[in-house]
Amino acid sequence: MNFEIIEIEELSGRAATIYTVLLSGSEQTVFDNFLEENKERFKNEIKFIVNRLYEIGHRVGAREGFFKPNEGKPGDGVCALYDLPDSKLRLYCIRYGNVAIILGGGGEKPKSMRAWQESEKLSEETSRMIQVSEAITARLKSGDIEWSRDGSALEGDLNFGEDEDY
Amino acid sequence: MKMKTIKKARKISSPLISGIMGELTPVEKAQTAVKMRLAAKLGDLIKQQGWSKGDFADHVGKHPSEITKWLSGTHNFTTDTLSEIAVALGVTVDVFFASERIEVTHKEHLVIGTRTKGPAVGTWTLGLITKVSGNTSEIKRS
Repeated sequence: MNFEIIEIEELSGRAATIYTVLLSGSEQTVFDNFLEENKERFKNEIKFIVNRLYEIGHRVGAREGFFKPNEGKPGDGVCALYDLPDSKLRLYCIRYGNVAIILGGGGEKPKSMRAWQESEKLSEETSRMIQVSEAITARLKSGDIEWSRDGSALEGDLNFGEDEDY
Repeated sequence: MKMKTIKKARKISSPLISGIMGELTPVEKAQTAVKMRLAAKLGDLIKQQGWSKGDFADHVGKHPSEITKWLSGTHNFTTDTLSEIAVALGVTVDVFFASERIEVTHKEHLVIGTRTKGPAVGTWTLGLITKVSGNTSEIKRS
């Protein structure tokens, strides 16, 4: 998977840096795709999610309690943003403390569905974020990317190639 | 000496996000902000006590899943629930709104004088210099 980590201008703020993923050959980020796919059918949920992300970026930070943990592999930070109690929409992301998140995609998750593995779409979105997390962890370990001095931003080579071994 | 070049992530602006944000009403924005700030404040207070989520659940007499909901920033707190929480934490309910409260930091008085050479005729309070979330507002004089 070739991708680039991109910062979202509208959502990033003094409380948290908000990134998303741009897949090679795609004109839209993964998060924009998620919005596009769901903005008609889940209009209120989408508005609520964007509103929450703005608050996270600009005021309250990426508090642990705002995210449903352990959606990926143990310790990889892949989680889902908590939404309205009756919402059926799930957004996956990677959380790095209170100061940074990488937004992925997501989709419909009916209440009757117990795990993302039951949905092809959700499996695809979660697997992608697991891969992104692995790639970032590998580069943090190798020193090709690092956290900024204030710990709020990723710095270094944020373009990831397919032939890399995560 | 070789200077290290710091490469940051490319920043992009999304018309889609701007459009959705533009559709949010002031009420929707305020409702989300209040829910999230209350959850953040509650999380801070639990931490200050040195309690885990489970410890707090015991103190407030709730199931831990209820605390997860409270901390998610999606919960619509009632004043009764906030009172329960405040008692368990040993604080007053106004603590939850402390950062939102407009604090009067200074009163400014203006002496209004006559146009003649006579003495000033009275003193009125012109306005209040207020502090909201660390920003001091300005008093405009006409």
